[in-house]
Amino acid sequence: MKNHMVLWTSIVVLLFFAGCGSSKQVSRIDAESTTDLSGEWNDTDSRLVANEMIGDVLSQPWLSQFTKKEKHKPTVIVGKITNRTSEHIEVKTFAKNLERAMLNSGTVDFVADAGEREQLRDERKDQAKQASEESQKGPGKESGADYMLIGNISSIVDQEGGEKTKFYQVNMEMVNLETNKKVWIGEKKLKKAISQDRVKF
Amino acid sequence: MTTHARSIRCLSAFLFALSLVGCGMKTDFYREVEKNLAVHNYAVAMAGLQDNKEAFGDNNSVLFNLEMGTLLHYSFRFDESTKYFLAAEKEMEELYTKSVTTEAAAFALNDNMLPYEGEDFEKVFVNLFAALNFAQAGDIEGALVEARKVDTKLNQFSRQYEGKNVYHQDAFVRYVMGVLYEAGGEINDAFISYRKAYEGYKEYAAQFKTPCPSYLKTDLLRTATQLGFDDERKQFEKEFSLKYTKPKAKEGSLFFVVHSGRGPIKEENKIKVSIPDADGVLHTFTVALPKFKARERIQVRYEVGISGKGITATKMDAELGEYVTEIARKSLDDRLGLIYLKSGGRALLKFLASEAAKKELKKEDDELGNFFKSLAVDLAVGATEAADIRTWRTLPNQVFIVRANLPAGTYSMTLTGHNPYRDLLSDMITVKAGKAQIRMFVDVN
Repeated sequence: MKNHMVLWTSIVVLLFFAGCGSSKQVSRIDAESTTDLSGEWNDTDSRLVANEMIGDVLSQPWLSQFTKKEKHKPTVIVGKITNRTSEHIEVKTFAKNLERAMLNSGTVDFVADAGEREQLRDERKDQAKQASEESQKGPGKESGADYMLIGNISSIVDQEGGEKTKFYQVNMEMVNLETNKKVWIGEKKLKKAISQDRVKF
Repeated sequence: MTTHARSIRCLSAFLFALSLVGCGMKTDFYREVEKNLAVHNYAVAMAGLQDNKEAFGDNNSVLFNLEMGTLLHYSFRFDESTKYFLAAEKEMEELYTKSVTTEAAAFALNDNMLPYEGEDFEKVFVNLFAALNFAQAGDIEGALVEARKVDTKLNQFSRQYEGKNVYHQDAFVRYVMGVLYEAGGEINDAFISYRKAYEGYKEYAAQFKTPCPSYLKTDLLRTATQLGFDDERKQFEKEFSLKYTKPKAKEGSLFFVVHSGRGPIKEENKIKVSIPDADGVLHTFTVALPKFKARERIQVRYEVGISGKGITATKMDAELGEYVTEIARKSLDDRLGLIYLKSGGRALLKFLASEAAKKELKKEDDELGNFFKSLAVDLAVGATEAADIRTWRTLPNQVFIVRANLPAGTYSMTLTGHNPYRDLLSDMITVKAGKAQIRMFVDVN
């Protein structure tokens, strides 16, 4: 009888404490670490795909052919990357990852994209009015890109009950801006399995 | 304490407990919300919802988000509306995981105990409305993301019902997808979506009283011509008895959406089921099932007038694109088999428990008292058997569409309602060549 009393008291005390305490905890993790929470496209996917894509595009012959012929590094711009998935993907982050991976390789030059260019042109206009003559940056001196990187992200979702598989395909193309010739086509596939429990207690 | 007093106490406690947990969400405040919705007073309608957020509680938070999302959509506050819709969608997905304890309680009493996760069609419509939000906010890519979700969900339902579900594709969403693709210059994808929409409307005609809009036929012919798909164009021309003539100037288009009338509500449908026991005595018990009830009887009609420089003034009939009430009805029917099984099982369980309780009571001598106690047990059991009649109430009854392809320019546009006659809108529109714009009018009254 006494034993029972002790047991029940312990259970009640345990339950009481289980219900207390802070419900939110924060810990810092490495920005490069893989975190899969919802199963949706995340920063890790964006980074991994960008790195692999760029590794591929820079190892292809178009780059050395251009450098040999033109005696300088090609200038590249990231064009439109279309989201054709059933998720709201931040394509800008992906484009930035691509840009960084390419620029850091040191083998290509980059020019600002359309949105950034507008901002820079506004600044030059402002400089023409406000800045000293020797420090003003004039118009008509922008570098034009030789190639444009375009692509899309698509996905297929298959679901039955709580089991879901997501298949992503990222297609990228490097296009010569003068001739419209495609010099490289790359693809990267990702597959994720997500399961959700049917019951909880 | 005497046995008599104890039994009365037990019985009162039992009745009190049942009366507390058995009832569903209080919905009286909806009357005010809907009254304000009818006069386009969305801010007051939303305040009415916010004031009654407690009545929704955790169990009906999906409903709260759906209603808020719709009222914001009707107020042209698209970004805020999308936030509520996406929150509702997330909760609906999370509710796939059922709590064993809540399910058990609901099985003993009624489905109102369960958190509301939405009817199948509501799970689809949340994305449809979000798509319309994105499209009107000018985010075509975002709108297409929502439209694709519709596809994924409908496929999933088809698998769940082994292909026996009536609502397994959404022709209207397909049509909107086509318009969006075309607006983004992707004519091939637009053509594919239009064709799928056309196939969808063939079923819509039979199932949801929604025949293929004539505008879609023109869209099919136009995109087939643009793509040089001569075989398809000829086949469609024959099928529709229509000839397509290329416009002289480059055109842009207007896709006009009218949300019309009040969507359906659910009501309770009580069915008496009788089963004989081992002695051949027939026992009757009640099963309560939900049923959709249409709130609109009069068939309204809309007409869009467009006039301006360079075109002959035209009047175009708005055509039915989505019949929400019909989809709601059939979509609930798809699920009714499951509800019936569950409600039947529950009613039987309650019946057996009440019979056992009455048997216990009969052991006592007080005949008159026993009669009343038995009656009380029956009443309590009957009272707890209630259908789950929660539903997304701010939805429209029907969605009408007008598609106008016009040379680039600025036009004046009017919207007239018929049955009864009403001048609803007079506005200016600017059409840009090769672009499409989605406009909306709300006539949910």
